[in-house]
Amino acid sequence: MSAEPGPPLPQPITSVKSPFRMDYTYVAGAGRSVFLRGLAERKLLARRCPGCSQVYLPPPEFCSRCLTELEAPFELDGRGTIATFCVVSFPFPGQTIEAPYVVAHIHHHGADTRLMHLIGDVAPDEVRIGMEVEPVWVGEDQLTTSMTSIRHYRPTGVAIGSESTRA
Amino acid sequence: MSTQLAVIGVGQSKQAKRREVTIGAMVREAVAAAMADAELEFSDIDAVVLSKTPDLFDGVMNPELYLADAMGAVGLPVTRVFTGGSVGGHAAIYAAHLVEAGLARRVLVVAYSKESEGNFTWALSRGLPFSAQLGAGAGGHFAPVIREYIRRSAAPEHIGWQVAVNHRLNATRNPYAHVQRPDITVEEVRDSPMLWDPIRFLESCPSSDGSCAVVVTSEEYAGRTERPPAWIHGMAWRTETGHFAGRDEVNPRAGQACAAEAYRQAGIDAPLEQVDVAELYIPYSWYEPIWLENIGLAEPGAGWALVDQGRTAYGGDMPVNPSGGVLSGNPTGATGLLRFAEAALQVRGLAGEHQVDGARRAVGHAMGGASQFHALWVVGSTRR
Repeated sequence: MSAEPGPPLPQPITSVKSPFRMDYTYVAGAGRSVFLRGLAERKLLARRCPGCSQVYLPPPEFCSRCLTELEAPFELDGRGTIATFCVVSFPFPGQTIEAPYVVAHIHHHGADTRLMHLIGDVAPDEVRIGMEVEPVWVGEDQLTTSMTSIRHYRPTGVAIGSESTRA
Repeated sequence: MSTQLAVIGVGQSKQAKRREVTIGAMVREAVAAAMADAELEFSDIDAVVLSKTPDLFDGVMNPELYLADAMGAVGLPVTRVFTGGSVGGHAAIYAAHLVEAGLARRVLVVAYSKESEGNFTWALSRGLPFSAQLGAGAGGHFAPVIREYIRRSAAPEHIGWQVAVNHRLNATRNPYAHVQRPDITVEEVRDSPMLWDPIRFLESCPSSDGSCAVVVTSEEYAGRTERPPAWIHGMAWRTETGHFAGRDEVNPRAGQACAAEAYRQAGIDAPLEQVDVAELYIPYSWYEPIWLENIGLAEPGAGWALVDQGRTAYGGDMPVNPSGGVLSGNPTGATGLLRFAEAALQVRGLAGEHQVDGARRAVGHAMGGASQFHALWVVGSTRR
């Protein structure tokens, strides 16, 4: 063995980037498809449970409480109240909206579930629990079988106080 | 439970933002420590239960195969459990069920996440077809629930700051905890950046690398070492769907029912008086009063007062998360098992610097998903 020093050792490698992708096939299911088709026509379709009379929006196929098949879909007018909300206040990778923006649980009039969506057309610090909101739909050419058919919800301008949310 | 069940070994790794070891090596740290604590060889183990997050999160597919060596699982049945963040709690209970059912004498429960090797924000924020692009992340889910809790209970806003301080000070007595902030103050939490209003940066859990392991057995094989076992007095899991009409996420029914069943088994009818210490799954500081109320350690609307009176701080009569909790270390796949393991360490008198004096009965608690999955056990220093 030679006493001469060899070339300097390289720095140890502690991590290797290994990007991967996965492709999924999504199936909405029979129950949810009813709701999604409604969205493409600017309709919010709800269904009632014949067992407990609770109204689901969006409706699945079966009531999660009673495991009973829900009744025929009917249209709600889209208005509801803000049950609660948060203000997303910081930027993070992949964000599509500029912070700050409001994400709310919306309790639609006539429904017993709550739906999460964005609140727009109002300053975040003016949003309140109990505020009445209505959907703002995208243009005709962008309507599709997705929640993206609703751009956001906006205040109707009618303050109806902190209505009990039941939820 | 007809058979008396016990935890006879507990091990955990140091948690950090990034551990410069492989996943296998990090898992082995906890496994080796739990086996040494129990004074067992792998040939003494009949089954292994693995707790971790979805493969997408840290990018290793079917890790139960890759980890067979690290877990000593060669030739043994391995079951992988997944129930969101509560998974470690469910895994521990499932292991206890295997022993109780007579299917195994001793079961090794293993849990980990190596969040530095993946991208959790990406994994949690992928755009899904049919859904609105809310771009809210995990905190964006829990923040509205916290706002609703604050409205209902009329709690003052400093409660969230105080919990954040309590847990970080507790972590200074836990050498395994990721976050070490010995100088933290209420003012510092109050002035930290707002992330998901009303949640501030220092009121949030970190993302961590870390692992945990425990050995569960029956009375017949417990008490064979000098270190005492933790006896399982009661255990339960309960689940509710994320979207049923009339759901109350501030006080989920599944969480109430889960705690009630575990207390029933343990013979507990006044939890606040009869439980000495609790390790709860608190990823955002306001979840301390929320869970105290949900699992019956406080009346609805009264949880925040326990915080305000200092009763849940280290040295209070109902100390919560003396380990530092989720706010001080969050390897998600292991976070639930760490709560269960820390509860066991407390009643064994082996919690080191963060030992609660005279802890004879402890609660370990875990929650997963959008508060859909709930698991809880009550462990004691004596037989049930």
